[in-house]
Amino acid sequence: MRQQTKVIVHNTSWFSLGQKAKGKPFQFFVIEDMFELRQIVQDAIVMMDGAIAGYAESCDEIIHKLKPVKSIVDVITMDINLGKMNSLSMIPVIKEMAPQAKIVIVSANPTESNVKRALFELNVHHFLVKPFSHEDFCETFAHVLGTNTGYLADVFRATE
Amino acid sequence: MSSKMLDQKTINILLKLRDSGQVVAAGDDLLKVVSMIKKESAPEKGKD
Repeated sequence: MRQQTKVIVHNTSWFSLGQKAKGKPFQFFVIEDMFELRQIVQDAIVMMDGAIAGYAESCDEIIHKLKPVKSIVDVITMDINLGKMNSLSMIPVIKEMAPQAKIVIVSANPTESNVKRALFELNVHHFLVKPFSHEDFCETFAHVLGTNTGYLADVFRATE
Repeated sequence: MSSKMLDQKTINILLKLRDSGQVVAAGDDLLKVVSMIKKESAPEKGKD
């Protein structure tokens, strides 16, 4: 399975997210409890020239694993259902620890209540629904990091 | 609140409305508005 996911990620064409000042890659912190999905996300980020600063598998791990890298993290990807816990309640804590980091929810549970809470109460930067397409994955992080000027252009194309 | 699942397109429209400052809070009618936008932006069938 690990080999299969690696082949899928490595056989897909990716564009570069670019770099920060001084040629440094954007740093990602991945919060995901499913090993295979975490590997896919991490591999895809690396294929887009991003770097993995760390990861957490549960709500309990978030604080102590984020703490040593909190000042360098640019983007935090976050699953909602971590075991039996809903991770949305951790977002205010994460924002206080790493206020510069952009938070992207990556979830298979896009209920109306989760989406409204994430977007309008917790003000996360993006919400990506699992399973996601390659295009949606690329566009999400390009938008969040400001490397895609055509963000969501197709959504209103017919009405413009 | 409803446990209805939203698709990526609906979420993208919500993000666009929020990020453009057109909507600052999630009201009850918000998804009705998004549904109307989706219908208007969908390509018409049967026309060349």
